Amino acid sequence: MKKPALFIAMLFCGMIANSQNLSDIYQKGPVLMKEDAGFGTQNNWEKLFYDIDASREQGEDGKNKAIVVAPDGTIFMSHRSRHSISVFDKNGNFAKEFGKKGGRESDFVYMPYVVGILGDKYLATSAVDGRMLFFDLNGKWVKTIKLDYMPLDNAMLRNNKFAILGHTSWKSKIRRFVAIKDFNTGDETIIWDHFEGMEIKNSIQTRTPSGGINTWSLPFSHPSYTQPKLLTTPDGNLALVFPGTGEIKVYSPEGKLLKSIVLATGERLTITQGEREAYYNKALEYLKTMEKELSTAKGTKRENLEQTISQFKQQIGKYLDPAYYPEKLPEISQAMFDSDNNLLVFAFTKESGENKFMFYSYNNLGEKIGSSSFESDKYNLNLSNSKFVFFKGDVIGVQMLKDENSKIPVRLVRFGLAK
Amino acid sequence: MKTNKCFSDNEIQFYLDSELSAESHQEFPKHLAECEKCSTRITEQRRWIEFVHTSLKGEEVEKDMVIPPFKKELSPAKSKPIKLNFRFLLKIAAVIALLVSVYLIAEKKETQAYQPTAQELLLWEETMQGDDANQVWHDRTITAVETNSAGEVVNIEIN
Repeated sequence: MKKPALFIAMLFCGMIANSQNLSDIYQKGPVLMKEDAGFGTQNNWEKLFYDIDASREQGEDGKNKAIVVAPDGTIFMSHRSRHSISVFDKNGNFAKEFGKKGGRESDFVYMPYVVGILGDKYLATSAVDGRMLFFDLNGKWVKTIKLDYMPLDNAMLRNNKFAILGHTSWKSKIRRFVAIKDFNTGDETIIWDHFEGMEIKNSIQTRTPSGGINTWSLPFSHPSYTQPKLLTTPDGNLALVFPGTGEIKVYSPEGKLLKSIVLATGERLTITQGEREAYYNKALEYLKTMEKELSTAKGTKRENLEQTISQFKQQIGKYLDPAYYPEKLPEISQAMFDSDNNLLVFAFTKESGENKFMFYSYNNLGEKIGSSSFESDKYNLNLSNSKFVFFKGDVIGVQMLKDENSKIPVRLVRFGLAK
Repeated sequence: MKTNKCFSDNEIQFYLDSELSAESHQEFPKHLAECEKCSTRITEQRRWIEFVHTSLKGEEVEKDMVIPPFKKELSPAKSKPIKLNFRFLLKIAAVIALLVSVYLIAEKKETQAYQPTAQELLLWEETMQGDDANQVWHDRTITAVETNSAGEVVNIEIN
């Protein structure tokens, strides 16, 4: 009896020591993200990221790539310009690519996004039309689940269940909701619902003589400010993070509310006149681009542009008007779990390129342990959960180089967190 | 964003029957080179047409195929191709129409899950850009979307 008890005690101590590791690093101040020079050394980035210049105007974006990491360290990467998934081994070296465009059940009709690993066994992908394809970790297609709504976020849970942030347009309103779905049975439980009107708020709209509509977003229409974020907790539950209020709700995979707390990140930043002017100047740049285009446009295109510019000018003042801004920025800009089960909650910052996070132990979620930030001298850190993933004490990222002259500015990288 | 729209079933049939305008006819090979789905549809449609032609042709009976108990060559009158009456043709056409419908329904079910609206496509693009909110704020991100008179998204810019 003594030996198993000793073993369990040692394991427990080991777990505690491990769980303190990253928080110890955070406690010591800003964390320098040190690139692992031995990661992905065999990769030819020009060959692998051949689509880097695919432009959004063509419905693609070669720089927009997302990753998920399997328990064995294998990295799956999706591209906003391909109907396939790239696979990298645990050392970051390219292994293979799988999946293709097509109409069969195992094909990608629309370009997919990798969204998680279900039950340590299946890679889950999602697409705009609600088709979620599941593959085994060798890239062999297993199952397609079709949703009758648009999936905006996902989290893989325990018991072969996964959560989806769904979006549908009804006749007179928009419905946003969170559903938990069973991979085996397809059963679905809606655990959170939100309705809003169809009117397009926070945007500038112009109409062209040929019947087209141009829409420009105003600052706070972007979904990242309001949409709840879906996270998988260390024990396979679902955490719903509400950026506006700082509220976090934890649900079991069966949809039972287990915890609801508010994590304040500190004093919320007040939006200044200078920041509104910066937005207005950005809109002016748009206007100048259109005016430049007008100088060479002819025929119907010219008529459309003239009317668009005229209507845009009438409304551009909205970018300066405080009525189109909240008084303060939202409570949370981003949230994630690290590999030591700490919850990292990021605040908005005064300066661009900065980040600041509060960290909490998942087991004691209400109590803040401390705050810190991540720094990198080589990369503009993007802290999105699809581009910055904790794995066994390190961070695997698909990140942009600061060097703007780099031919291939996007890299798959592993960061060690320097103490 | 340019939409590379797939052809309708009618357009495919018109194309195979060479009944499209010259301009539209030229667009087809360009689209087929890029769209596996339409290529598959057109191949299937061609197969059905071949099947129909074969079914309606009535194969000639070769002399060597004449076997006992006749022992002798069939008289010319007996070796004439079988005449297909209108009712028989109608039955074949009905079966073909049924099979094509089943195929098209299955294909539609296979490829279509949810049809997002133009506004939802914009929301999707913004969300899947993968930027955290702090970055969106500091970049002063403005998303522009252009829809045509049919309400289809023809261009999206996120700057």
